[in-house]
Amino acid sequence: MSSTRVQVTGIGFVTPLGCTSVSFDDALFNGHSAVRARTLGIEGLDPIELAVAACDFDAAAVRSSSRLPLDRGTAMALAAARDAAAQAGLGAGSVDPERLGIFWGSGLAGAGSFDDTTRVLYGQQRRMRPTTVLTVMPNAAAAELALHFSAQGAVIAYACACASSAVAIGEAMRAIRGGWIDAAIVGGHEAMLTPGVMASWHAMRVTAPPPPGAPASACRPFSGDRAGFALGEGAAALVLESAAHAKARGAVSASSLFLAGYATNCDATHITSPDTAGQVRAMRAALRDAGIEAAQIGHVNAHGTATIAGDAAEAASIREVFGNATPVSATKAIHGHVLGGGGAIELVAALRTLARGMLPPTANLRVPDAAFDLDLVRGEAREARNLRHVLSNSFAFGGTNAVLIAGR
Amino acid sequence: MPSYSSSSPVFNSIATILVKQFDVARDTIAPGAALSELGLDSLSLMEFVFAVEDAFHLRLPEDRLDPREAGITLGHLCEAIEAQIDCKLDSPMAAQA
Repeated sequence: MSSTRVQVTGIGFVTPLGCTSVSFDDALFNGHSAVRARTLGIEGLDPIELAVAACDFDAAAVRSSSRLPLDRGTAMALAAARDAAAQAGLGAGSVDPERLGIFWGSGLAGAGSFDDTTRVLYGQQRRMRPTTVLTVMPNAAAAELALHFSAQGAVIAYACACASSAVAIGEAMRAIRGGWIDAAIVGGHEAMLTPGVMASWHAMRVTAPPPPGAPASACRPFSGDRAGFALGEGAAALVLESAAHAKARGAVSASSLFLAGYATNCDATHITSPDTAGQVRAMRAALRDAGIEAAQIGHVNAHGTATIAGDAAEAASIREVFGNATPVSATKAIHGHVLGGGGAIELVAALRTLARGMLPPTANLRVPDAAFDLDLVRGEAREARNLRHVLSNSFAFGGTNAVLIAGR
Repeated sequence: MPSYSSSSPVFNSIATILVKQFDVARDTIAPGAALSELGLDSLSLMEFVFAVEDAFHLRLPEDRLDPREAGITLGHLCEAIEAQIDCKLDSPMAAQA
């Protein structure tokens, strides 16, 4: 535990649940799913029915500093970060550029842009955009944010699949605690709803089919009849600052929210199969980092992908760390699996949970898996006065686990 | 050098692309303006030519028009577009879309 408190002074996002806290809260606390059915038609293949959660977002309306075309995910990142910086009042002159960092995560980064450009290359037009490399490279968003906010400190892109943005946020917290930077714009994105990328996910057999007539219920975390996840897209950004920095520029009153703890580790057991022991180690390490006991966590925002193996491993790891009295929710049911951006969007959900003193329900969860001995929040949101700490899990392909603890 | 008309539909289309997609000030856009004088870097110029190709549904041969070459003007670009439109016997009106 460090004596430097890391404040959250700004939050911005582009999600399937909208781009404002009003629309986000409405969906989050009422369990309204943004998942819809989409038919993927690729010439020569049978149509593929998918459940996806897309954002109502016009990427073309977002301009880059360099006037070059942006990857859709980078455009989302920029829009989210602008909102976060505006909320934090982080303008020119409010932070030393050399003490401002960008810590950004994405799992597949520019895969969507690569899919789009190569479809043209191999199609009738047979040409390649000159800016393909710049839109596809994994640090495209981090670089664009650095340009936009004149960030001259550490500007780093993290790629660890579903844990990418949670790791980015946690590593930024460490950099601020360590005194390497004063402030950072952090978070992550994913924009992967292009034909080739969606077909890639479908080929893994981990995506849920949209139930006929009820596509919004495709993703059912911790349910006995869960069948996988819905692909999502979006971005979320936070402004993190040392409490001293925020106070010095008068931003501390804007937010009582802070990051209390973080840990990351790796299962090192299997490329996809989750490992309960690795998850337990990660959650306990995050609790030690925050300097609190498991009983002080008032709510767990689970990774909750709604895959058979994923939910079983996580139900067991949460049970082992917390027992069965700590309420648990999984919000992927409503915003889909946003992969590298998921950790950041779910941390926003955790921060809204703290700010409102209300626990979101796990949508689509009618009958929990009988094997899970957990207090799963379902049906309606639950009031939680005196909520002080919430924990958010992100567990990735590749074995990386990341656990963030937020406080107020 | 023959001067290209600033009232042609082709010129107006590329002027709109420059203003809307590349933030070029309208008063700097004239048929005699060199591509290299629009304030765009080399990558942006190539993306601009891509955007023009997309708008007119055609390909501009690189041997005819390398946007990085000094002295190439917007008027030259318009002439190259019109030459390609003339080559496209199938649906010339599609170019106005």
